[in-house]
Amino acid sequence: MDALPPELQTTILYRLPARDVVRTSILSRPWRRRWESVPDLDIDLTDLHSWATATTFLSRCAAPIRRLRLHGVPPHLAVCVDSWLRLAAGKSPRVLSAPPVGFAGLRALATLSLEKVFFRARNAWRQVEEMLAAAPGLVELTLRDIIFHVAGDGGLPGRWVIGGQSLRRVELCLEIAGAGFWEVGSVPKLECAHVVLNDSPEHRDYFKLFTALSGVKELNVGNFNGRTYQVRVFLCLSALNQTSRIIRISGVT
Amino acid sequence: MEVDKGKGEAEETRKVAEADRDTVTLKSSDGKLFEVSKEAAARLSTVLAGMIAGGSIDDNGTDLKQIGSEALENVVDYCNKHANSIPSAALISSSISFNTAPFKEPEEWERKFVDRLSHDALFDLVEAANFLGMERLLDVTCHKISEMMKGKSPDQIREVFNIKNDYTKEELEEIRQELAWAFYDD
Repeated sequence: MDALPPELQTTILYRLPARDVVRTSILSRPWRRRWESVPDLDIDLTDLHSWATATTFLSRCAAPIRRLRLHGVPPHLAVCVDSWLRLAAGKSPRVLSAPPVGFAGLRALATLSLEKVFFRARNAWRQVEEMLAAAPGLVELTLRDIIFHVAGDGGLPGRWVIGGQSLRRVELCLEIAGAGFWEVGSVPKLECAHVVLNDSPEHRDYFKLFTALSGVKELNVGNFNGRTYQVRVFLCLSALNQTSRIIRISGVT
Repeated sequence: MEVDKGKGEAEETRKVAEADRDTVTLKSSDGKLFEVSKEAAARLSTVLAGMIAGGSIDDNGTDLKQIGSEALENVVDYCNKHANSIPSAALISSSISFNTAPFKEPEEWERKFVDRLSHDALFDLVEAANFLGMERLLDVTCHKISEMMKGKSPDQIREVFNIKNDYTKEELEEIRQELAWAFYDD
């Protein structure tokens, strides 16, 4: 292994999860800094026992990063998340699965996954919109169980638009109560959509939603709380989805 | 009929000549000769494709001084197997998939191909694939080596790859502290 040219060592190492790559630093002196030149790392920082050393790691690892997953950060370290993501965003990640930040460096992002994220910032749905706009190469988008903080009593998050010129696959599982009045905008290349609907129809213009999704080849519509009036969904679907080859509907009440 | 027989013989001769042109002969560093399908060699190796296109193939055996006979035999074996393999269902499937990894997973026969190799043969094959510009074979061999490292403890990796630990105790502790998130379970 030590006899191989450095570029071959890199070719071997970049297939490993980032944790394994970092752990090679302990093998012997020639290996101490080898991991720092391995690009395309697949980084999973989930429920770490030593979050503080994530900063050292993210500042030293090579660019670009293939994927960064950052989950389970304890509340007292929430302030660090911003600096970690800025470090990562500076390394042109292709996949980001974490709360968002500011956004230069996301031009190469191909996959974005936001799950169970609570946004504290004011009008944070605008942040998410800006993030999507900053990532024109985004191909795959998952937005699931997002909650935007709204000051005052009983207010709902505002209107915002989910879209992207390169998007080919979206998975949306968002409640109006948490994520506000989201809509689907321009998605000219969309091929596959999974949408979970769970709001009463007086709040949601299904006709508009399915018009926006009418170009997809595969459409999966689910309903997890049984609160959607399926008949209306059916009517909209049958009126619009002439192009879809596969339509699956689950959770019918 | 006479004419038909003559035609048959001509056909045979033509076939032999064609078969002749369809292969290239490669010579290892220790002087052994190997024949490989010209089509497969050109498709799988950028270096051999360049030599074939540039006419620098020697009918008596093109010298590959950097590659030993065992590695070259494996290269040729891989090319022949590749030429005969049917693309897997995953490759011809029309289902929509979005793979962000910069490499493709090896197929079943490719796994078997590298699994039977000894350590030394595997590393020699990595270098041969690299030298010949064989992207796919490099992928498959490097994948195998990375599999041998995945999830292993530093001690296990040192043993498998014969790496000597030349750190002092203090140095080891320092590295563990620096990147503690990656070493927590040890």
